[in-house]
Amino acid sequence: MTDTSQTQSEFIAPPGTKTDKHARAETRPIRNVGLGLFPLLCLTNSAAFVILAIANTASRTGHESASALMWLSMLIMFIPTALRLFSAGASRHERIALVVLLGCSLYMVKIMHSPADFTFHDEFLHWKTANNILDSGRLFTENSILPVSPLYPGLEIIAVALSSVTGLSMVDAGNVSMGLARAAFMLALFLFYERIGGSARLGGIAALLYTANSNFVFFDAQFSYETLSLPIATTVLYAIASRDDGFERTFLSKLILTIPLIIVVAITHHLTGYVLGSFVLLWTLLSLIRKPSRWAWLPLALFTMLILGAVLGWNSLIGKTTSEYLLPVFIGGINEALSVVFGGGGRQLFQNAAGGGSPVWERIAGIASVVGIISILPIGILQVVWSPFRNRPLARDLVRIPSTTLQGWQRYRNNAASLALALMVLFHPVMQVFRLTSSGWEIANRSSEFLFWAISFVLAIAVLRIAALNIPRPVVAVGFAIWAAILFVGGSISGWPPWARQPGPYLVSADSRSVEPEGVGAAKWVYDHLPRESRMTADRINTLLMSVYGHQRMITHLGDELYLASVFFSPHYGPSEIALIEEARAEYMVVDLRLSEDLPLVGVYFEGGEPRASDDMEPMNRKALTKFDNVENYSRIYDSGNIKIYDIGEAR
Amino acid sequence: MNRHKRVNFITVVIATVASMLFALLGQGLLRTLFAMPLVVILPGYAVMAAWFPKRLIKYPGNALFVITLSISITCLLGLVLHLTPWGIHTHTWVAALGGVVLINLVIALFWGDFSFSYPVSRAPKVPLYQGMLIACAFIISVLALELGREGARQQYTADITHMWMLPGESGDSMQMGVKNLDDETVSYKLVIRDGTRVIEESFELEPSKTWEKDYNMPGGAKREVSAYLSRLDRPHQVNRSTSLWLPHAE
Repeated sequence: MTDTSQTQSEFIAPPGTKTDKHARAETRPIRNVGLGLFPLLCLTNSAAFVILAIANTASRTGHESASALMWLSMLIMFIPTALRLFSAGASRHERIALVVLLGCSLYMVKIMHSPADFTFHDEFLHWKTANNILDSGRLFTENSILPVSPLYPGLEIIAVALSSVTGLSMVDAGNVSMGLARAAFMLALFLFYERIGGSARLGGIAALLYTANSNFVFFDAQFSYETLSLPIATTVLYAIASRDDGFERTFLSKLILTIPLIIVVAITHHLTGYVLGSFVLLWTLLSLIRKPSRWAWLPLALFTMLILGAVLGWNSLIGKTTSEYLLPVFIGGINEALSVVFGGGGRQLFQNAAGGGSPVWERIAGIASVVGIISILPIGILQVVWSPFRNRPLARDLVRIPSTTLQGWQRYRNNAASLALALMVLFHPVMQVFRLTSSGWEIANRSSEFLFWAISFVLAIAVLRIAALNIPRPVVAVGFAIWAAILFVGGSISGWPPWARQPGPYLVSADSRSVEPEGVGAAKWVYDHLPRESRMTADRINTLLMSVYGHQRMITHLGDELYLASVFFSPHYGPSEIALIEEARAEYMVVDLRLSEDLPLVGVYFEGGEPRASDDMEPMNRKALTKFDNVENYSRIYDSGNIKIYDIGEAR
Repeated sequence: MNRHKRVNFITVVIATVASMLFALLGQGLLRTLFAMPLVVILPGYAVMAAWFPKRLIKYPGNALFVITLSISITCLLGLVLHLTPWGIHTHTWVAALGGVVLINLVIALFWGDFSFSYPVSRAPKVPLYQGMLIACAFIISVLALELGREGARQQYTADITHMWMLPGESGDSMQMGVKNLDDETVSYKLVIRDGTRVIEESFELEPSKTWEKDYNMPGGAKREVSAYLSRLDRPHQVNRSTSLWLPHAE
């Protein structure tokens, strides 16, 4: 059975322009059987899941081929989908289905990493807040491992609601809600790009390229506030972009539709709120300048005020400590980036804090990805921004601009959203400088998911322009698939370190790789045997475990403005260490002897600011960790081999 | 008001009430499957049916707004519940979510519409072989997930013994405990030293089993009591050790 009832896209040709090859291709009736290739790609993706499961099981025993199998499975998901989305032969329905399928399939990569429990660092921070809400029935309860988390409770409210209503465990409820958010995210991306680009093919390719941002596979799939806020924020962008589609009778109705979404962005994640507000503000300003119609800017201005009002209002009323949490990261990053620009030393690329490096092929893929983006971006930017360029004969001769390109320029340049995205792209090279710094790396990495709102759109425009050139179709398709795969692999590599991408044997201070049965067992013992919310101090990993599984009140710098790491590092237990412990009113202390076995892979054993030089290549001194055995009135109440728990309450 | 609208209204109301009942009274997978729409589908659907009926008929934007509005409404209800004396619990969730859905459905009955288009309603008929491919893919995905879980479970079976020594109810009493998380049954030897006094215990623990015993250790002066655990097959190799200062504060 064939479907000729629909065209491939809603191609919007500028008035007065001739119908060109590109436009004809996009409006050609599609002859597809049923759901096209979607069912077949479902099957190939499910086969990829099997390979992934085998890869992760192999990785748990430290098998060498585990990493190669994981990449193979991810490429089986990505490349066929890329080829199909690039093809002009897929229907709009098929493109939508494929985009959602790809997003959900890549979400499975994270689920298969830790299918039974949350193991990522940030997941513990929000898991604690969610457990607090579940236990107390109230929001805004204290969470010393991330004090800002309870102040932005959107994610936790959804997980708690789902857990309470369906009876699922918090982990399953979190996984289900994040999976739904991922499906909605891909749909929102497609619709937003399709709306402002005027083409389902462009929407599909842009949504596909979005998955190449460095945080898509892991960071934005974890149980964390950004994972929820991004889909909602993208839905807001789509709602704004489709403000004149005639579904609502008045603009007020449209505004009312978006109000709940905007509020939820504001109460879920500070950074997403700021970026969303800033982008819509830029969109408004460009709308003022472009003036497609006299009052076109006014609805956008109202949306901007609404978003900024909600975000700033929530931040000033509830999330008061957000600036204290975010500003040091930004200031440190900017200072270090400036020193790199003016000749100072930067971060050693592709090297972790313990001195280990990434494999050579990963380094090549990471760099190729950056080059692949930066070399194609100007084509897309030109399409959107530099329309007057077409009038220069010299330029026309130089690049042999086809008529299709000229139409493309006219198509995007009057679109304020496209222009705003093209301008946003200019931040990308700046962020590459931040990647060269230690403290700025986090800013660059965390900006990736926002910048890719723009980068993927501009790249998709460039891709369609190149596809319209007189190059044999198979060559362009294969070239696109290889280029997109490099972007995807390189992006995923730069966002998540090799040791964290798959489960495996225990590693020292390596977040998900340090979460293992002994630590979890110790924390569960604490839950069963010690009073809830006792004041406890521990290293980075045991702090997470004792807080979530053990229900203890962990002493942290974020929560108490005290650094207790020096107590553990000091070779002696003297008056200054005793004074610190007394000031912290610590009742229990957890010592993990494995800290003396290796360097911390995340850079710290405890938390930032610990008394250890960043270039110190010696692990912690074991004697420093065992010194508490000889302290009077310190009872070693628990021993699991590596982990000791001391009752120090009586000593105070 | 036409008949079709009334039928739709009754259908959605029944679905909502069933969802609420499963949330309150259901168990296991049935509860999960039937109660989930109360959080992730019905609130957004009801609000769109009541206030944005035209948008509800436009696929796939309707699916996007149904999900994201459901999430948003649930979040906002969470904030409201926090402010009420009843707080955030299962029954308050069910009442709040069900209430919002039912109120909006009544509004939709008079001013809105329930029509919801979805791809299958407009897309061509899916051939049988394509349906079978999708079904196969689903089954293989579930099996793959189970394979992944099994791998995780295997890693979580490790050689671990927990030993603890906690203050008892009186100042001179204490509680000893050992838990075997090994794959196999282990025989242990425990030695407790309180100055010159020595207590020895031998016991056997199956996997995941716990041994606990209370001791009264009268002695008067402040001193440290130590305990050492070893496996009977390696009696001279101390595996675990704990200590407690007695008498402790009661």
